[in-house]
Amino acid sequence: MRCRKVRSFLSAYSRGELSEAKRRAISAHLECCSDCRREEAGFREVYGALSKLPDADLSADFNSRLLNRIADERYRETRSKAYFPKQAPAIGMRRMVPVVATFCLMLAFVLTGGIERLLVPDDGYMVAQHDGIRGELDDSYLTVQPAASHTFSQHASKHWNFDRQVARANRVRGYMNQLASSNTFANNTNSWSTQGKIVLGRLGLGPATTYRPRPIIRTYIAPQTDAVKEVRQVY
Amino acid sequence: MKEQTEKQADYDLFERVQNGDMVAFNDLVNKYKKRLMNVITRMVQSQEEAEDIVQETFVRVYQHRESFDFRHCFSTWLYTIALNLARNELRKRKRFKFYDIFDLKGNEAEIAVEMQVPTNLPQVLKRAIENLPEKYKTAFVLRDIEELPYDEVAKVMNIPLGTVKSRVNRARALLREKLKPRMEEYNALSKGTLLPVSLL
Repeated sequence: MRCRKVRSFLSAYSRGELSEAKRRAISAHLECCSDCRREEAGFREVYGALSKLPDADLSADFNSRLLNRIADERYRETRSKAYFPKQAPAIGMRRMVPVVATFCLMLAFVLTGGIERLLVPDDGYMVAQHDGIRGELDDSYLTVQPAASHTFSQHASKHWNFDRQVARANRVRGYMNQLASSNTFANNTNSWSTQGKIVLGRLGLGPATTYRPRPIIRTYIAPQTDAVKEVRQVY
Repeated sequence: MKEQTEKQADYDLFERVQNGDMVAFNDLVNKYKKRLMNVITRMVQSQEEAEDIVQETFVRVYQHRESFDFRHCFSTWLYTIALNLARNELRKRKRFKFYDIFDLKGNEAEIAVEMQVPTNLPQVLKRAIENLPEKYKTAFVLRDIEELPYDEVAKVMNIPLGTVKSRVNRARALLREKLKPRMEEYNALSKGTLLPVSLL
């Protein structure tokens, strides 16, 4: 090894940081090179002086001052926020998105009628109201209207075409007739609370809802004109 | 093996700190305060400021105790916080330089006398370390004074291992150069050679 290379390793050599092979090579060089030996001695002296360096002093009340500050810190923690150690959330925000979305959908489903709506036949208007809540029943579901007319009820059927409205009115009439002639109605005629009503059980979901069979009024309106040609017929 | 035991002891203490045990916190402070003080005093060259930084370091440790990652070494985390605070302090000083006229008056003469008297070698060495460029000084102090392993120094300084080795080597060579004339005088004196007439 040449002197220049050896000198680059001398500080590490004097600290015993070199591998065995390098250490041997440098020892061999030092035995025959007085300049490098002097350099190496210089490094040793520096390390010797380093060990004599005095430790930095700390003031006697360092710990008490620090602990006072920590006490302040703890006080601030408990004052400024509810004192809970910070922890990673069990469920991250990303995972919460589908959960929240599902919850919102379920809430919307329940608020718009829920299972009750599903159990009722296609024509929602037939369900009418719970008995006793409203005295006057809305029979606009039986009204057939021209598409653009607002003169009659404001129910959704105003956007239906004529054929569809007639078909629905017939369907409703069929349901009502079926209900009127059913055994449920016949069996409950003597009870004062169910007299004149039909009780429908609903798969055990909440109290049974009572429906009142009512006379069906058929109303026909000519498709091309707004002129109303009514044929009222009571069943 | 010894390192592993020490590491584990630190983890145990710190876990207790996380559970609100202030006795454990006090133990950690007692264990590390002198080491930190040694490093930081050499960085900022002021006893009071170094003490403030060490105190601030422990306060930060307490504030962020929940965010400590147990995959890392506690001492590495501690030194990193302390060195960052020291660097901030040095940066601030660069921005606002304050000089005390009384300091300036005495300092020049004092340094000159210290450098002239070969028996005052530790003082001379201290000055020489203080005057090293910051990047060499940090690596040198952590490695040669605090005797941290190279890989830990690399983690604390957030630089590659090879860079740490070269910086430490460079710092040692610079010190050796600066101290060379003083060391020779010191050796001559300790061997019984008479002092130069000018120093008597």
